[in-house]
Amino acid sequence: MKMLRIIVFILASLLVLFVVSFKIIRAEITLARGESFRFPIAGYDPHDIFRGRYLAIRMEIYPKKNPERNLSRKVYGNIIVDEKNLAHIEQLSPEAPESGAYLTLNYPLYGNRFDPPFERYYMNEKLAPEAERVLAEAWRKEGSDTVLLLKVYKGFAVIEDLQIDGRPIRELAREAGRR
Amino acid sequence: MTKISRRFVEELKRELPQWVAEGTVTEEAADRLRVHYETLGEESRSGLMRHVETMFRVLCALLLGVGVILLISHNWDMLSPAWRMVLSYGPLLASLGFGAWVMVKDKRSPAWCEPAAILIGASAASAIAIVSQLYHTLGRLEDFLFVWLLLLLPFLYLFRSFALTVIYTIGAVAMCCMTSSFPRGVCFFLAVLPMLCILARPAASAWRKFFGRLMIVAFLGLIWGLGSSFHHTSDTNIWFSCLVLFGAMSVGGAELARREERQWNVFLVLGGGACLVAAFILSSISFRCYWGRGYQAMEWGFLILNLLLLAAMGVVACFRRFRLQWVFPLFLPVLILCSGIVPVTVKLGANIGLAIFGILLMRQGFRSRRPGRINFGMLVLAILIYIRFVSTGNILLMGTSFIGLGLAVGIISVVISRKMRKLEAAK
Repeated sequence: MKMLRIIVFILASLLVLFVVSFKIIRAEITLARGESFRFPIAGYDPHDIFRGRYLAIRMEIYPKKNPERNLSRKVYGNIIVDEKNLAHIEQLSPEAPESGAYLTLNYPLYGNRFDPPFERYYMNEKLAPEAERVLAEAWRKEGSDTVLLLKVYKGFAVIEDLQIDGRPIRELAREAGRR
Repeated sequence: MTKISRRFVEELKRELPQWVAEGTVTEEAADRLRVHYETLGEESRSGLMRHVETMFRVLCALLLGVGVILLISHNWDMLSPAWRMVLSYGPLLASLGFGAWVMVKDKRSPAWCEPAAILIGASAASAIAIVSQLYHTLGRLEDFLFVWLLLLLPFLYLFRSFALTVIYTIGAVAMCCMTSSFPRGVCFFLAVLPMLCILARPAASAWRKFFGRLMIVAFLGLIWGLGSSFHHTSDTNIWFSCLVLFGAMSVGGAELARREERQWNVFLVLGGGACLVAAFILSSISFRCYWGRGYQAMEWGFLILNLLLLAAMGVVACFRRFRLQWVFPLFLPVLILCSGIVPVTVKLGANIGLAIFGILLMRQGFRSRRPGRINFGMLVLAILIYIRFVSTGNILLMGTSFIGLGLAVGIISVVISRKMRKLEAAK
């Protein structure tokens, strides 16, 4: 009985380590081999006791063509890039496209809108309020472009950076903090 | 074994010389009693010390765990990703190492198992959180909870930790509160339910039993209510679900009380109380249900589960001696089922049921000479009269009825008390 408990404990521990490591490895592979895309965003800054401060981002990636309500939760959105070099989801399909970049998205069980792949951009709690101010200013300004830089590899995406007019938000927030 | 308080031992030691002097016990018997109770007192004190020790270790593990989570939530921007990996793997490996030591040494005492389980839970949460921070993934709380709860499940049963069970149950219910992850939350709750039942078993210590049972009642109620309100389109379905659940608690609680040879337990009190309150509310509501219209898989699942529970209650009631507490648990869900045919059934049935329940309770009180039951029966009737007259708006009639009932209660109480005093005097 004791042996069985130890074996179960070892397997459970390995599973924890595997899950954590798998998340890291998959993200690193995507960052190394993925294709970059600039997605337009909008955002604000709430607080989460578990994960410090972050900018809650709203990705503007709703399909250009009306999606068909699919019964399966997992759908694939093929990515197109417009003349301003901004990425958009063109269409959702139940199967992964054979060519071109795509994002794997989840439909919620109830409702018709799919879940955006990213809703948070984590920052240091000192920088986040400054970043929020910088973002708010950028949105007020005409023609300013706020984008989320994503690396996409085989449907999986990782955030590379959040940029305002081509400059990283961390850099802008630090500058604003010094002023 | 009954726990011996220090005060009792002290009082006994004070009383013993007097008992010896009176000749109630011999000198030798007094010595034996003194030795016996002093030993028991010592054992009780060492048991208390063990509890204190466990509490301090649990507190220590909780503080450490929360500290690690807070440190990670700071988001160490100045550290390189490699260092942040160390921050994520370090506490996880350390707590897994501590857990492995507890397992290998076969330490089953809560003083070791509780902190090991809490530390593993906290470090797993922090490891997942730091990876989320690094790559900005798992943005939604339900995704984070899903991964965390899934990974913690084996540790929950390996360490049988009370604190981790509480945290796990809260996590599962939090998932249930989010519409999109309700089915997954229910699965996690079902996964933790055996552990809650282990905590709530009759042989467990009193406070574990109480909290285990209270959590089962509270969270089952919450999940049932949420599930019904998320997925059912009409009020009738919510009423039906909740009444079946409270009814099952009440009947199950009565069965448990019989086995434990006690009169009350949390299931019986809360389940029975909820059924009675529901009966009063239903006595003023009239509705018609539309069973099966526009149902999806979840609605059908809930309906079948509720019908199975109702059938199980019926089976228990058939094989046991009829109890008055079973009137509403069995009667109200059936009335709601019937309301699909005749809409007024529920209102009418609840009123008649309450009146019969009040009268039967009083009758039982008279027969067993229990003033408490008689008064409770009176109270049920009084509330029913009040509710009915409030709806008619006849204050004069209501006032007269209350004076009549009040006088009746007073007279009955006096008569019963006199009878009981006479019986005691006769003994």
